[in-house]
Amino acid sequence: MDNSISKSITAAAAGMNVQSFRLRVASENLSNVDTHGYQRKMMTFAQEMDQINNVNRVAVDQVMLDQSAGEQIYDPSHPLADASGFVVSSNVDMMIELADAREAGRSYEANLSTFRQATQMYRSLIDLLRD
Amino acid sequence: MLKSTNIVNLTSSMASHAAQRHAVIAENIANSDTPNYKAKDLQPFADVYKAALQKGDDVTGVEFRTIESNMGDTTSPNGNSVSLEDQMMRSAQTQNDHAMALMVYKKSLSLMKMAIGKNL
Repeated sequence: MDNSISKSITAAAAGMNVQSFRLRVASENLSNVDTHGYQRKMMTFAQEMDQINNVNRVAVDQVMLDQSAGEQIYDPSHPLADASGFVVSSNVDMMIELADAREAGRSYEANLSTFRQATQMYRSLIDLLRD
Repeated sequence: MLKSTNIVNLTSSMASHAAQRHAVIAENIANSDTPNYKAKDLQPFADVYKAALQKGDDVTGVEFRTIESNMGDTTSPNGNSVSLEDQMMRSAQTQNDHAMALMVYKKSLSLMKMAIGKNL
């Protein structure tokens, strides 16, 4: 019984970990929205087996760069301008990053609530022993 | 009057079912954004209990099977079938089941203590 509760706790903690990493990636992208030549980072989720707790938990699969081209701005005076005077801006779309950050926050809260429920269930088991 | 300790076994098994179901739901919630993840659930306790009764077995120590959740119609474009709201509802339900099982367990023990004359 306690083993199942620790499985819940492990799964929820892994979920929170992944969502906070996702939020970190989104905020890195957002803070570099005006960095010329910056390529947006993307991440994917995957499942991995936690051998110790025997639970299938979620993990960060890989972080990769978005290869789509950024907008070309004509600014010959810019230090990063090419021979024809164009500077490549970042390929970050603020709307996408904000939506991603919000979704990460929502999922994080759901995991946190599961974590709290599991600890509450564990506490009520301990209360049984106390009486 | 309690004829046997069956009720204690039953409630302990029910609490165990609730804890296992909570673990499955926690996994679903953690994977709510994983592509191609299919939501899972545990087979209902009532079904397991009924099957055990029909076979004349005790429900203690019965293995609960993980089944695919019946939320197939909400699959998102990335192939994930977890609905966060539905899972939140299920996990709250599971927590209530666990609390109820523990409460019945506690009360059954109190009854037994009362029967053997221990002052409560």
